[in-house]
Amino acid sequence: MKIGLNEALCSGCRVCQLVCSLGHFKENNPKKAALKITGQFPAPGRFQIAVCNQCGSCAEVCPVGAIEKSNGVYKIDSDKCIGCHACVEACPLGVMFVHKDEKAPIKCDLCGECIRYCPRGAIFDADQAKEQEVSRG
Amino acid sequence: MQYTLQIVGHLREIIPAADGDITVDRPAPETVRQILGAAGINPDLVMTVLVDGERRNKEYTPPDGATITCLSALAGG
Amino acid sequence: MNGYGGKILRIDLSVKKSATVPLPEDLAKDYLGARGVAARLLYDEIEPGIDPLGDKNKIIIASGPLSGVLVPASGKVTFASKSPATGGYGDSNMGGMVAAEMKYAGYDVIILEGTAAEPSLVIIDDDKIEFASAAKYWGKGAMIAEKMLKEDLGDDFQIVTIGPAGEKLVKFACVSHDFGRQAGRTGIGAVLGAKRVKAIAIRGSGSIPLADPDKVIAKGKEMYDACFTNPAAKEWQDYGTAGVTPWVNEIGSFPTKNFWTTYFEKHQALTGQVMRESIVVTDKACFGCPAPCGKYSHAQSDKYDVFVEGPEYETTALIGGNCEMPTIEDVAYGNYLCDELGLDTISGGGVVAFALECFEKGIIKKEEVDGRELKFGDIDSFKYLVEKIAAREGIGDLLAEGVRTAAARLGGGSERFAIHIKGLEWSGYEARYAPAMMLAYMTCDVGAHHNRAWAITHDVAVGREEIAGKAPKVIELQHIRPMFDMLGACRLLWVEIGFPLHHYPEILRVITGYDYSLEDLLKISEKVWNITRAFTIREYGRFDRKYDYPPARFYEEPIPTGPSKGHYIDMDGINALLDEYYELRGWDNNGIPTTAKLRELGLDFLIPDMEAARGK
Repeated sequence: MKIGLNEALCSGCRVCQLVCSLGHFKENNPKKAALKITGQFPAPGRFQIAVCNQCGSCAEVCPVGAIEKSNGVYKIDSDKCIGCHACVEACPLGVMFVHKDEKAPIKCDLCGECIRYCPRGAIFDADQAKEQEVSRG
Repeated sequence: MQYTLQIVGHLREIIPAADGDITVDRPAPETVRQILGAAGINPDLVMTVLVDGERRNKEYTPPDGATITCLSALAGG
Repeated sequence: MNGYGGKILRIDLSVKKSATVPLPEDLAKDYLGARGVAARLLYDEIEPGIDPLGDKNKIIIASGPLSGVLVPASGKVTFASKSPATGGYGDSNMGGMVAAEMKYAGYDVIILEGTAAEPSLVIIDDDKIEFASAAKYWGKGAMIAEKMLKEDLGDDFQIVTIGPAGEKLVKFACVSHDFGRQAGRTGIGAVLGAKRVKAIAIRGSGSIPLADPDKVIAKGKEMYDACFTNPAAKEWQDYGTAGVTPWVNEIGSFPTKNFWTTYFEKHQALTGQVMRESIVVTDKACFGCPAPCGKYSHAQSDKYDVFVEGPEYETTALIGGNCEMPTIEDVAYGNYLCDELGLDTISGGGVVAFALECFEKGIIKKEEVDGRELKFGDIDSFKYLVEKIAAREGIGDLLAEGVRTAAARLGGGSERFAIHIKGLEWSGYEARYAPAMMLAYMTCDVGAHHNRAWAITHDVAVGREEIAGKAPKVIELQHIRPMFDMLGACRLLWVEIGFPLHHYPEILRVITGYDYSLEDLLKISEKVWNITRAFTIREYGRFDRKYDYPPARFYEEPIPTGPSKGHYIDMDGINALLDEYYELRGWDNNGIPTTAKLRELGLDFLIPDMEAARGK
């Protein structure tokens, strides 16, 4: 699975953020999601989706080796994490998210829930399809 | 000619039909409006018509065996 | 409390202080949230007879137990206040992101009291409440101000603003949010303006507690999957509410030329299809919605180049048909002007059309409009009038009061075509050939608005000539639709794609633990219906059915052209509709809830006020 994005289809609904936070923290809290939606309004009137592409920059800078790659996915070991946020600064996409209630930054682990529940096909599995032509439903 | 009328949304409350589908038999090709009339459905209650998934108006003549999906008026808010 | 932010935030603008109290469990159980809680609090806390634009009015902002949770379309917040337009109960609900964000910050209800000494911002950042000067933003358009505030405070703040019209206390000023969503009706923007609040900024980082998280996840996902596979969802998303424009014209109920007639010859230029092909840029959703109805558009001509969310159906009806605008671009531009000025497009379109008809009839003279030749179908006339209104300049100062007051002052017979009920201008369905819809408008609790009961299909289904037997459907809808307004979710999935109602008590149960059936929820809706009616009756003092009557145009003038030509509902029909309705509602001949009915509903606290009104 690889996250593909078609931002032109994003409606800004935030369902992706809800299923993400519920899936990982069992909390209904989009601020604990591992992706971020930003609107560009009034012009040009589109949404941008920021989500991890598993580049590994975070793992390179972690001083305690808390970030490791497994099956193509970089994951944070929250027990090893010391909360220094070096990875947050190093992330080129700004997708290591900090929440005051969590020591370790929040990072996408490629669980695929956002792909499954994006109502618009704006987030899709790039390994399965090039780009979705029409939105779901 | 045989058509399947698929009734969707609030129209189902007005037009009782088994699982929302009605089979209509007609002796010759007819427009959607005529087919609706034959099925006892007031065409004014149907706002949008899809014939085999394509949006059509009520004057369109569907092919034999077509599925005609009828959406009631969007309620406008 | 599961499903809730947990707190009421009370803000005293006069002394720049705030206090929080826990949301009382009884209030939540008895009234659910949003409109329900707001209506009860407003009845309890507003002293009858106060000036809606004065110090003692309050604005209640309330989300519901579904808001911000994994539930399709869980983004609705209610703004409630004593309405400057009608002098009675006013509420308006709004989509976007605020309903969710305020719950993440921990608040189910925010109450604004008093008056700020100077133009102010209220900044709510979890439990930190700040008051700041709005000098930099005062006078700016509603969306320009939102953009500036997002840049100044942070993009993750959700911002609510008023435009210049709210600052100038225009009676139909709206509340704006998320670059294109509004709490449009009943003039709550003017109440904010009177309190000198330019904007409210909210940011929340918390989680909403859930009674059974695993079941919420499962049930929420089930609801989303049901939306994904609904065959009507694609059609709905393609056009949003604008999809209904051709149908309303075909059946001859489209507001045209100040509701003079009901079919607009140029309507084919204003359809959802034309809109999609010519101006739509993005399908824009409210929080949690899988079927975005927002059509964010880019409208260009040799006169303008603007971005606007819309036009949706109401704006297409009231600016398009009612002002006879010939192109979708012009309607979109009219929408943009109203949005930036912070004017309700429904009342705005109604007031402009009224002014244009007055001009045509010589009731408003050229000298009063800077020598201009004002015309239907002319975007420059529309622009001139809304700008004058928002600035309260010239004729704009009178028109800013709404059509009821404007007609009373202008005279010349204009009261016959001041299209309003109780001072709220009529929304997008002309009803002379739709008795159930006429009844819906007459009995709507905030004035001439269709939000509570959209009954026009019922008229088409059972007979448009029929007067008798229409009340039960109207009453049923008046309980179902506001149920969503109490839950803090959007009704349009049910309304537009037939999304089944049974899902709502089911998801409510696993979020809050409240074991309510659908009938229980509708009963609460009936209770709230009587509370909001009672609020208006108490304000009006001496109430009789004439306050429910439509304008004379509707009971005296047959529709002159189009598919519904010749039809209208005379006074006998109007009274027959109300007779049946009041009887079924358990209200007396003047539309005042009876003591027996109030007892039956457990609304004993309303009995003294309603007996007093009855005695007058």
